[in-house]
Amino acid sequence: MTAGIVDHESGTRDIRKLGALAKVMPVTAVIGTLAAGAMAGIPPLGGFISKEMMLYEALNVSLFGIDWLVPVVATIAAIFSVAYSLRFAMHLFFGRARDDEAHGKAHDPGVGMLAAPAVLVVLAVLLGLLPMLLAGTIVSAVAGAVIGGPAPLVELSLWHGVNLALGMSVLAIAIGVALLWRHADLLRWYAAKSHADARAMFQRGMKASDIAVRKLIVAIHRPSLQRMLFATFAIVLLMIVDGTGGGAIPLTGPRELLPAPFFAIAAWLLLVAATIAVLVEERQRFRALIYISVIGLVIALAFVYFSAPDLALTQISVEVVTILLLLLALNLLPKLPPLLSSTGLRVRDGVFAALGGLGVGGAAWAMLTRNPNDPISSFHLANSYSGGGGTNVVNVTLVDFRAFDTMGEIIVLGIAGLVIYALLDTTVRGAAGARLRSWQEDMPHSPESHPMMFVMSTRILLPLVLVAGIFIFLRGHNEPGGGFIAGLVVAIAFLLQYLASGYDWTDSRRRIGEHDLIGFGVLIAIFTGLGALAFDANFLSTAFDYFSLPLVGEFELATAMLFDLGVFSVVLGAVLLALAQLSHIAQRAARAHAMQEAEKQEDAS
Amino acid sequence: MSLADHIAIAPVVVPALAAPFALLVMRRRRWLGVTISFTSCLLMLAAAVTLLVMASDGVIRTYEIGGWQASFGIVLVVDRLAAIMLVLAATLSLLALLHAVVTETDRDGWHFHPLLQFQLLGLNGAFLTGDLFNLFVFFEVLLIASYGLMLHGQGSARLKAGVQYVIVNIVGSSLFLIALGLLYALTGTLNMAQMGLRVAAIGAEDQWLLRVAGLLLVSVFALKAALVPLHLWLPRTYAVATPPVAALFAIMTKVGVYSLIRVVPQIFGDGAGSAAWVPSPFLLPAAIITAIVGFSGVFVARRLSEQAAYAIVGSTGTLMIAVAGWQTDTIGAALYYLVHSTLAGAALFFIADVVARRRGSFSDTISSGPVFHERQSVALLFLAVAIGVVGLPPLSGFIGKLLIMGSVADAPWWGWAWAVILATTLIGVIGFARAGSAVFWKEGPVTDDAAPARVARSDMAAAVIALCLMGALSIAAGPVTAYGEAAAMQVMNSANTVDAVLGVG
Amino acid sequence: MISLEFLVASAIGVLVAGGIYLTLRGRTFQVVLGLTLFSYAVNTFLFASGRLVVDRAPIWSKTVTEYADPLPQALVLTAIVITFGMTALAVILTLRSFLETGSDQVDGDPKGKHEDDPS
Repeated sequence: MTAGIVDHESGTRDIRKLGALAKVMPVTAVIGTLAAGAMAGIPPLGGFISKEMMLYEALNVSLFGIDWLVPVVATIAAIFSVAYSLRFAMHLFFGRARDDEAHGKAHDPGVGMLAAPAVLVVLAVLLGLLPMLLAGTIVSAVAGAVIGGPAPLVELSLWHGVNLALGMSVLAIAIGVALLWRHADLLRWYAAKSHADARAMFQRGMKASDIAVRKLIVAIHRPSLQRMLFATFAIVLLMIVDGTGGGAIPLTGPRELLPAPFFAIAAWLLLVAATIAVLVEERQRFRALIYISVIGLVIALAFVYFSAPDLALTQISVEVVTILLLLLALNLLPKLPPLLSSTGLRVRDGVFAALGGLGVGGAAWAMLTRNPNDPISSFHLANSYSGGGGTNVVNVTLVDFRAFDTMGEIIVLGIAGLVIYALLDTTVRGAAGARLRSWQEDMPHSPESHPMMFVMSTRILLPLVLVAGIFIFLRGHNEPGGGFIAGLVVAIAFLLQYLASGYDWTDSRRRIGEHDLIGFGVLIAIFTGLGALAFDANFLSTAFDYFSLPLVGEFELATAMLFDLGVFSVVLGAVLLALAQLSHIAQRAARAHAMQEAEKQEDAS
Repeated sequence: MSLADHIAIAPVVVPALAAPFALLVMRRRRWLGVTISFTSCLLMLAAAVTLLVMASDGVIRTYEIGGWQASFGIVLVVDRLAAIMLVLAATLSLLALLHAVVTETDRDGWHFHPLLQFQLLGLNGAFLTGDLFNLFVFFEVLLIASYGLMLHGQGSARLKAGVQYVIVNIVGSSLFLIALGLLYALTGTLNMAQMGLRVAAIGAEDQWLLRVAGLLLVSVFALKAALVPLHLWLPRTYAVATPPVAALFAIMTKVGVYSLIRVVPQIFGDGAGSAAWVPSPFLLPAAIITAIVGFSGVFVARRLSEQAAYAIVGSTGTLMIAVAGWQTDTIGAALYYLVHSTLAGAALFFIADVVARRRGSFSDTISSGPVFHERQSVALLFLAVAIGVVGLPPLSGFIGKLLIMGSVADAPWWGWAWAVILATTLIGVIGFARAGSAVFWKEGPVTDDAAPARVARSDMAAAVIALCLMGALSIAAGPVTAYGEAAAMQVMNSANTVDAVLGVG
Repeated sequence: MISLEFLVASAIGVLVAGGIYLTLRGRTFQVVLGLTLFSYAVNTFLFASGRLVVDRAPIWSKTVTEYADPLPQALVLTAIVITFGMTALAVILTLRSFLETGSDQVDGDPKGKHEDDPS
């Protein structure tokens, strides 16, 4: 503020042009000198106390394990603050006037302008004389807020007795005064040394570090998926190694093991062989898909064998849809040979993969050979029928005990459908469209795009599959089945129509859009859950009762089934949205290509 | 039981209804979709603030979904931490939505509003749930919605970055499932509170498995939080996403941080035997390197959006330095800084877009171009936001960093933390100063293709509001830090949560 | 004697190894295959957290007292569906990215092509 006043009154703030202002602006000079004194930490001003305390605390601090580092740095900082504060006062207000123009203009400003710095300076002086009274409470409060606990007892006073901190203060003031005294020499030395191109040097240094750091940052963040995954796997391996402690760990637990019958070993061999085949036959992409489906099949069989019929059903139906999707996608992907990485890289990845397999397989082994720890699922088994109204505990868990998970699950599937739609919808435009039009059909092609037998059989099959879907849906609560599997089965039936009769034929006979299926499906599920609120129950609470109708006999209706209907709807919508769009694009590409060929032939003839 | 008792599910149910409604009407009428989206976000904010006020009494409230008693069914847990995160998510979503609607980014592709709502559903669910598998499910919801949002607008850069973002996260999700399987096999439960109880009874011969599970889980969260070296997916993804989406993503890394704060004290706290605080030795070095890498990126970025992305990385590093202390006051400081850095990161993406929209082909590159429309106001806004991001007074970043430095002062490694925080602040200041002077100060060659566009001033609204919120955060630092401190207390005393979730006795 | 537990654990290990190896390859289709292997392994792992039980399907009946743990089965069902959604999205995205950019490489090293580095 004092600087501002001086600037305002004298027309310059260049300290080299000012001096001896005390004669023309005495009040400002008093205020400015006191303020500078406080900054320098000259007793008895307030700055002395804070500096003293800072230095005292600095003595107790050890940084990077070096005890003297902080105190020395603090003292050096104190020296310079003494030097520049004193220079401020001395060169502004005392000494001789160096620039007559500025000196001539200057005079003390009005009270209004002086009031603010004056108040502050008075405070600074008082702080030194009556520290506890003025600042004790404030310091405690602020310290408390920053440290986040009860504030330490702060003792504020001018005289702390002769200690090292006082010594450091005195030293700082002495050296600071000395520096000021030799200021002119220092200035000359500085000008001679480096002043000439400090700015240029700064800029050069900046540029050099910019280039170096930029190189490093760009090199680290090369957009390589391989690197991202490698880092992830490396960290995971490190974590596994660290978790095991690297030492002798009891890998095998006490659980009694099940002997493997012959067919289990055969299935295992099949799975391992298929996995190896996927790895070595990377070039044969369609064959790789067949091996993948063999693995999926073995896993589905394992689920059947290990008492998980629902999982087996789900696995099989998901498998069918996944393979369909991969087939359709592969049709459009380039059939270039895979990028052969260098042998070194392959060996590295191979070793890495083996370690990862050992780690996860070992964890699986450790887990399987230990006995369960009183799992909460005993509650689910006990309450499935009485509380959930169904005997298929897995299904009741999905639509009742953990319906919240299922709600999230169908939303994930619904979003996947939406995102896939958004992705594919733009395919025919821009660069992708051009690429698609020049797409070469490179697989042997049936002369008939919609074979009669296929068309007729799928049309007869459709109502049958729909009935099967309803059946699977209805029995889900008590037997393996449910909304998800039913949705997939029905979706596959519709997909067959698309494949057999073409997109346009099927699309024109469709009543509800897939978007609506997804939207309504989620709404049904949520509203079913909210319905419970009307009955004074929590979100997603269920109710069920048994009814009887003539002819049908006794049957059960559960709100969980309504929820399951939502699941069905979303699954159907999402799968159709994804696969129908994809097959549509492939067909459009094929048609565009055929038309181009025809045009070429016309031109030629 | 009145409707008020069900308010805990509102943050999940509101977007779950809004998204399909928006989906059903939006294809025909955009304004209806926008209205639904705004209404939903406002309702969420109202619900979140109500929960925040409710939670301020220190009682941990639970909500048993489906009426199934806790640990058997899924339970929502409303404590101070959850409430803070909910309010933050709702606030940020309103800002992102505002910016998207004003700049009409929501029309660049399909399904912006449904995806935004689904994204919020995933976030809110993750903040509320007390069940580890349910946390996984909500992670997946928020991730898959984020894939859609990140690809919004498409174009080759987004598609390429999208492939990497999606695949890295799928691998991350797989790891999550492995960790979950191990934890269920060991503890027989999925409820986090009960899991925390049961780990204490695990015998010495099984504790190594618990450690492995804990470290795997923490790696997954670190991947989401983008800690070095698991951050490689972030800079590109955020830099190419449409600005409102990138701004919304400012909270995505915080989900990882949130999960760490939620899970580690609850399950791997003092009772976990040799697995207690198992990630600690890794988190601090990772956090320090993350801060350095992030702010070095800020220093050398060539685009404002790229710079903002690196600022997100850097601030996560600073944040994790505090989290790695695992003390009540460090977590409390971290929560304040978490709120601040989310708003600041979002503001940076907004301002980058404001600049890009005014500079024609110069876009948001950090280079000197012709004078553009409203340069002075944009420059001032940039300056203020940058001050907030790097942590200079008077905005909340300064207080946040001060709090973190104060809170780690007792730790043996405080010197490293202080040195890194101060040094990265300096690097950040230089980086933003250089960017600002290049974009706003110097005038570059005037070229024909760089037709400076006249743009309505309304696109600065989101950035200005974010800035005001940072200001408010520093004015209200007292009450906010007190709340954060109390939230940290709740989280660190996991026994309280156990009592609330499983019932006393 | 070979135990079923060993078969399952080793199969998981083999699948994980295959998954890691393939996801580290340079083209998207291989990476997708790797993810598929990975998801098989992870689903089986999660299922295995309920331990192996033969012939005790969790279909409640008054006369049966012992069942396989139903909870991991429910979790795996959820996980299968979620993984399916994610895989489908990844497949379409890689396809779409290829159609847009003309490259299905993921190693960040497009030979001879200018990378869209903003500098």
